[in-house]
Amino acid sequence: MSADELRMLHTSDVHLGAPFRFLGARGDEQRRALRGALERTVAIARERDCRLILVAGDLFDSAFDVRESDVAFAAGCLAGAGPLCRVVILPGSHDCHAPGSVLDRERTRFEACGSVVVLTPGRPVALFPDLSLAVHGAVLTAPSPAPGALGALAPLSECRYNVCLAHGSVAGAGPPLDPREEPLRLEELRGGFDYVAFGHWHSHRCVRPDGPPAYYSGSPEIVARDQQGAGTVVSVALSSAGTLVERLDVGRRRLRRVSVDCTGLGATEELVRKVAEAAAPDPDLIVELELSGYVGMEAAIDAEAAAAVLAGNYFSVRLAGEGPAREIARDELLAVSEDTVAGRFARIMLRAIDGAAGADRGLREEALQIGMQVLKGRDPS
Amino acid sequence: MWIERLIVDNFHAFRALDASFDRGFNVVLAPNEGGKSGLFRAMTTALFTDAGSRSAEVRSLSRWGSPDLFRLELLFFVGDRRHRLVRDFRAKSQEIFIDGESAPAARGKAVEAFLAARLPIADEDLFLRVCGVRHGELARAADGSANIGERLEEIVGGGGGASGPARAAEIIDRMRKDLARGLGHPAKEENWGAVKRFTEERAAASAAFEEARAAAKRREELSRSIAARRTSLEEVERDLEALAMKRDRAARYRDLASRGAEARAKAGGLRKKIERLRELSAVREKALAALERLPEPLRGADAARIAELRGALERESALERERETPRAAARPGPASGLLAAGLLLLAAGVALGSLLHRAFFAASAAGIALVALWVLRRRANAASGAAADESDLARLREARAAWFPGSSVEKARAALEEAARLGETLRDVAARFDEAAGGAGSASGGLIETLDGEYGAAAVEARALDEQRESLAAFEADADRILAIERELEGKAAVRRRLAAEIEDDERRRAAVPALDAAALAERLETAEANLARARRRMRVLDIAAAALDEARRAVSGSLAEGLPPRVAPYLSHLTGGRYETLFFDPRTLAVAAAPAPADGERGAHAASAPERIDPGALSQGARDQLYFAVRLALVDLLGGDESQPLFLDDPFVHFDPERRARALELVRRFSASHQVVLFTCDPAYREAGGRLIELGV
Repeated sequence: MSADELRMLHTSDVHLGAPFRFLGARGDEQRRALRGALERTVAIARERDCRLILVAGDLFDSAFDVRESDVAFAAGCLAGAGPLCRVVILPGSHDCHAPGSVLDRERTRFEACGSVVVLTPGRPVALFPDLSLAVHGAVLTAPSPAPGALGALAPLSECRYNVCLAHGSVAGAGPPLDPREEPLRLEELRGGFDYVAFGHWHSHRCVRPDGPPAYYSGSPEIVARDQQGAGTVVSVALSSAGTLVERLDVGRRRLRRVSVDCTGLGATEELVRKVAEAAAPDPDLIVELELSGYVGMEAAIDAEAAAAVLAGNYFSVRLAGEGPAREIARDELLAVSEDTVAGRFARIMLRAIDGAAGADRGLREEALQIGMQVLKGRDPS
Repeated sequence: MWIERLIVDNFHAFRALDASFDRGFNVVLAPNEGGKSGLFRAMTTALFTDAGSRSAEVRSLSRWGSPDLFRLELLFFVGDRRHRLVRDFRAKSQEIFIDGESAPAARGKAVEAFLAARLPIADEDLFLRVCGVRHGELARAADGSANIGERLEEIVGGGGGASGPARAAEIIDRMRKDLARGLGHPAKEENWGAVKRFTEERAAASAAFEEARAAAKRREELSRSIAARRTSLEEVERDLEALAMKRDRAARYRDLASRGAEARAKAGGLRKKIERLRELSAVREKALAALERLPEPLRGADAARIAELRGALERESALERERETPRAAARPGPASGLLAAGLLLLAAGVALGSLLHRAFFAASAAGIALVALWVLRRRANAASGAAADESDLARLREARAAWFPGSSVEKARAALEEAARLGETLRDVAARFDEAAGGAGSASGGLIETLDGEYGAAAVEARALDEQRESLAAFEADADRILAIERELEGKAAVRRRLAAEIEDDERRRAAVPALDAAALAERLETAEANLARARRRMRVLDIAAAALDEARRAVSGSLAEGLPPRVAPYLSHLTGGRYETLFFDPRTLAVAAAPAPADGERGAHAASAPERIDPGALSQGARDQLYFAVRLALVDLLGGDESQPLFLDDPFVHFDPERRARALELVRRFSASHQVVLFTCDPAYREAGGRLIELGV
């Protein structure tokens, strides 16, 4: 560690208080996991002797509807970084700065400990003379950054280190999360910055490795069901020798998409076994179960029931996609005489299936399967 | 279609079997467990089972105890074309030949399609149900344990289910009711179906979530309101501060102006006083200088002394004049002249005339006389004091010489008057000094210097105050303006109080908004909605299945209702000896009824009026199984269409009495004229039934 080295930890998109609709009744546990991720982030900062924690937006999931317990937790947790580790909070797209918003209303509460700074439109720069450091934030006052947000930031020549904090989708770095949002244009950023800390994308990503380095830290914990790359923070070391960036895993939960071909399976138990073989039981694993293939008319497979059984093996199991298609043995069905009720029924349903699409088609396929099963004397209930 | 020959290898109870059949009536005679069902199964397996199948069912059909599979060869006619169907399950091969051609018309998988296109009943399940009549069926129809209509629907149910479409519809309906229980009619909560349960759960979750959202929205509104009011409050406080500053500076300006004026006035007064004192000082200096020129003894004389000296000088002068008066008295004095003039005037008055003239002249004469008398008296007095006066004069002359050395009386008098004047001047100056000094005493020599210092200080203060005032010139305001500012301040202060009260009120209201866990409620709602969507989807699926099944049942039962009665009539009439002839079949309820055959003479009337319908329950057991058997025969007619169908009878008349059996057998023989009939029985009596006899002597 060189004498002039300045270590800091970059996080974003904690989304404290976020609802987890896809987790249902286990959402509260995941909200606790978000808190745990922030606690681990602060602990890492202390362990690594960091002088700064950057929160690049969306510390909270909402600008206004934030529970008191979350505010108290966040203020206490960040203050716990200690007097030597400063924390700079940037209002993001979810917790943008607006009159009466949580970061406006509770700013003094956060800053009461003396080591936390909430950037505001009126105070977009946090200056730390003892560290010869200036943290410049493109403060969001609305869910989308203002045009030219990065260009408006001017590094201070009297500071040895200048760090940029911004929240939004960087143009050219990938598709914007919301096509209506104004992208951040990295080319607008003036020279003189040593590191650019981005937030908004929940997956860790290197926007550019140098000139200066620009990174998305990713969420420290999974916030939504489509976040394979979440659960990370970024450790940054600034020195005269350059900037070193390191990705650190802090998330507890992991997301895994498990694809299972249901072709040939005859019962729900078989499906459960096949999923268990594909993904070993893990209480912190969120399984996105994608079922494919064709389920025979005779097969008694209930994907929902399988998911319910598998939920005991993992943190959560969620069915993704349309599920396996029903194998409609058209010839076999048409072989049933039209003079019979089953034959008539099959033909009525086949016509209905042919005339339907998407979800309606699935309904009719399932109706055909159920009808044929009961006509064969089985009770699907 | 009819079966001509069946060749079996290693199937069921048969190591090998080669059986031929007539196109008409055939009797397969075998003891119980003698292979009758095996033979029938061999026919249907040959017709409908793919030789490539390795299902458990297929494997179970091998000859008992044999590990090998089997081979079936079936020769049959469709129309007038002979087909030879070979299914070798061991070799998984199958071929079908037509009319003795060496090349197969179809082989492999194509065989099924070939048969499906040609067999009048290509559906195995339907073939088995329609073309196979077991004695048990007739028995159940006879004893009433089976509803003929429902049994009919079971036969044409298809799908292979043992229970039939009615039961299928019941299952679907039950599933729907299970899901919907409590929706249309009240039910205990513990009995609610999934749709009702999840609907209620969704409604409760939705209401709770909406409440949370409304609370969140309310908190947001209040937070925004508080923030806006705080901003307004800050502005008002800034305004208040600015106004207070304006007011204070205006007051300060006025104070400075006032104090400046006072200081200036004070300085002016001091300046005037100093000037006056300086003037007085000059007068005194001048008087003192003049005093220096007077005889030295006279310089310190006060007013009393001067008055004494003036009296002495006057006395001396008077004495000097008195010394000179005797010379003057020797000469006729004016008094004598005056007295003479008075007497003359008196005489003139008396002489001249009138009373008025006389009075005037008398008065004038009296006055003149009095004056003359006063003068005469004085002359007399002066003469008496002349001696004493000489000594006084000497003393006075001596005193004058002491006070006014070398000065004559006139000069002494002039000096004395000058001394008096100077003394007066000095006293006056002293008095004025004293007055100007404010009682400080005219004797203070440093007064002017003191006053000069005071003046300097006052002037400096006035200048400083003026400078300060000038710096506040922008805040110059008159009393009205200051009053206006005060009023504005009061107004702003009132606004501040109001805003503070409103903020406090908003904060209190925000604190009172229930802190609901919107995230958890959203998840609960999501779960409820997902559950409800699944339940509703299931309901929708069941609705679709139920509707389609109902449509299918109506279509099939409609066909039966239309096609069966005319086909049943001859069979029923034959079986019942003409007692019953007409079948009624309600496609909606599947209810079956029979009507007695009308008497010959009543046929016309019968046609015109509704026949009497007799529910099978009202029929005798014998009539019921006859009715059922007639329906079964008619069903073969109906479903076979233009093509004949083989009819397999499994000892159907076991429970018939001899008369009905004979009648039924006769009907079967007649029926075999159009349809191949294979009657399986263990009753040797059927050796005499006619037709081809195939005895299985296994």
